[in-house]
Amino acid sequence: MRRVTLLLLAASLFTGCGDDDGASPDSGPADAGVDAAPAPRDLGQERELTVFDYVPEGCSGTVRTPEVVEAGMGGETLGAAPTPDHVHVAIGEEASTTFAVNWHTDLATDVTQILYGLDEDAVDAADGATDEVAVRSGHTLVYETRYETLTDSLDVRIHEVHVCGLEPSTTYYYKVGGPGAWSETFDVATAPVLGSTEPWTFAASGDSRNNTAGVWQLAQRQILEAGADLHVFSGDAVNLSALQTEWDAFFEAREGDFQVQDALARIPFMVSNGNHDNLRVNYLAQFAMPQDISEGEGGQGEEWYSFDYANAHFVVLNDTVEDDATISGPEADWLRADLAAVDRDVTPWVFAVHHRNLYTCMSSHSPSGQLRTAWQPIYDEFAVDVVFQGHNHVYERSRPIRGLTATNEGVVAAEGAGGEPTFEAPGGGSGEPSGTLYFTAAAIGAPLYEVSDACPTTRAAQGVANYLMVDVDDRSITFTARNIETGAVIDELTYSK
Amino acid sequence: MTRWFAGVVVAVTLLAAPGAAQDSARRWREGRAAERRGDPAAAIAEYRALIDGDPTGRLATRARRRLEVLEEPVGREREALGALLEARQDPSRERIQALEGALEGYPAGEVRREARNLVASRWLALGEPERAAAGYRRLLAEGGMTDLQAERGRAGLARSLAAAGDPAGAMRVLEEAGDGGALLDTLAAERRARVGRGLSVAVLALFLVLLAWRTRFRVLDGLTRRGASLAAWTLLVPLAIATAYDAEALDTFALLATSSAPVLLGAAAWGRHARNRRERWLGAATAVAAQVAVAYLVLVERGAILGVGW
Ligand SMILES: [Fe+2]
Repeated sequence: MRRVTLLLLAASLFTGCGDDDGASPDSGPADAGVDAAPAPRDLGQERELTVFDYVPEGCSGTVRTPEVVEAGMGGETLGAAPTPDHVHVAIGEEASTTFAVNWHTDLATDVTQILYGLDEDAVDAADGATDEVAVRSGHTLVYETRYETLTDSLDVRIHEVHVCGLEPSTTYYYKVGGPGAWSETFDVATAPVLGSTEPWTFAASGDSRNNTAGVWQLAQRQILEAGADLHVFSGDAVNLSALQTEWDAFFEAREGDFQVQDALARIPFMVSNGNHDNLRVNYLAQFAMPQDISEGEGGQGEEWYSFDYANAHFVVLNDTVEDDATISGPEADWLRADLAAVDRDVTPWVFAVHHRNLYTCMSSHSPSGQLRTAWQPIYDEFAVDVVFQGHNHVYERSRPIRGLTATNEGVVAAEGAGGEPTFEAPGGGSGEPSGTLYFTAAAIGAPLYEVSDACPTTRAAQGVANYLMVDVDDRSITFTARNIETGAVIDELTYSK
Repeated sequence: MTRWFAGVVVAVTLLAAPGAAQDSARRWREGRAAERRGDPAAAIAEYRALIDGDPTGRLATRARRRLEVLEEPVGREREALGALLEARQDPSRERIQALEGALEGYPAGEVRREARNLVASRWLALGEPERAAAGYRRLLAEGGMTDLQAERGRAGLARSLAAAGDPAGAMRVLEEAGDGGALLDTLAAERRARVGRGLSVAVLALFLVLLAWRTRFRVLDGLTRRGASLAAWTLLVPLAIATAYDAEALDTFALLATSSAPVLLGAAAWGRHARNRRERWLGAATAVAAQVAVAYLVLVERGAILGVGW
């Protein structure tokens, strides 16, 4: 009995669990008592939740909302603040012929339309469909969230529209909102046709939470200016996903005359779930993703997904699951089936994106043995080229890795002078790399961690704010990691398969 | 999509516009290469030609974004941009030295600020903190910065000063500007750790001295051997754990010591009232388990180790 008392006494001295990763509602900040907070609701009161699904005009896939308090097709009501903000674009279906846009307005506004076309001035001038400008309607939803503290409450209005039937590798101009309340006009380019050998570029980053010294918006500006076609994000967008104020800060960050919307509304931003995002309704409702619901998958098919871009296949996984068995169970089954269906003649490049690390060296979070056991054999079997990880707020690049030892350590595969994988007959062979590269480019705002390159599987490591640009040019690839604060190259690797 | 269908789509697209797509791709590559070797004028020419050839294509949009960056600076400022692009691509000591030498000849403005920032940051990374601090001071003396640029510049200056052995100066830079944040916290924690380590050693030394000469000074006269070892255990174990797991050992040490105290007092009371050897061993084992639990929870709380879950 006394032992129990002592342990309880010791336990009662502490609150929370884990310093920076406690996304549980119990470990949040105390009520800040800010007067801008919305009127509190009775949090004990149960509200009926609903899911809305439909096939957008001209598209082929079903779009589903998460469980929210209100959802349906857009209406005609304009509220007091109907002008869209938080505008951002994503890939919802086939990347070369479609795009999806999300935005936020005040609660009363339910009009949800997009005007788009090839002529910027025509889109700019339009207030509805014209000869040169097409209109599409989308759906809108309301979710209940915490606002500034974990004890208040707010209803948030989000809009989403999908445009399909577009030309590949083409620039479209668009604006969203509704008659009399349009956003500014943005441009977005569709992907090259599937299997294309045209050069294209994507950014890989993660962990924007806390946004130290405005590094998030600085990087977004650089990524836009560099001409990225796509941005894949390895998770932890915000610190406490249940707080809408954090998402507002994420979408509204700005420096000088640049705001992150300038980049997010132009470059498809593909997210994966980090432990801080925690698959909350805020995360699921604010981002469009490809939605094939597979067995055992939550989040209406947004827990994990895949898509093709030009000559690459991306799988985006969730490693912050409700039930640990999911990772080696249904998610691994899906991953194997998805990769088995890839035709490497069409998409010779295969990339995976998720949050936690299979390989990382002496940083705050140790590598996950669980993920190695569950997923590496599949990455190995299907010769995945690169895994983009997050979670450790550093830059790291592994050596090519293939296979695991009896003690679950990675086996370093054949490599070239720069640490690149080798290929049997570059330019014409199978294109199978000798091993998979594991990158961690996950400090696009989050507080920096220390890191080391002393591990046998690590090739390069630096504890600086960074993002990675990946230039794909047919069967050649160049990875360029940059220090966000200076724009300087911190690591570079080029090879061909 | 099946393989044959994808093949057909690729073939149709290539046949439909064989010139434009290939031309755009070639010009894009050329433009990028020109930027890497620090030649904005050549890059601009390539991007302009790309846009003229295929104005609605995907690469034209990207070329326009590059032009926004490259065309704004003109004259000497574009020359500065060339040097900056080159130094970002290869931030070696030689190139940074050359860029630093050329800085005063460039016109004031965004490009020169970014170049100053790169130079100062690289000196810090290259292990020359005094030179970095001087660079950051010159950067901060330039006008026209956004609040965030200034904040990042001050953080760089503070990091340089701390690396140059002037942590007090580093903290002053941040405090005077009202930039609290993670860096100030780190510097403050390092100061606490320095003070704490000294303090811990002093307390421990004093205790050992008093213990060694307790008959002479008669201070710890009433202390039994068991009491002395208990007191030593209370101090030494937390100190050892804190030092092993946490760079900012003082806070962890203090928390461990205070939370171990009830465990040890409980164990001592148990020991006094234990009726036989078996009960004493049970008490000892329980106390050890409880202290391990306490240490675990403290280390999790302090972020020195990862807790259960994520
Ligand atoms: Fe994380």
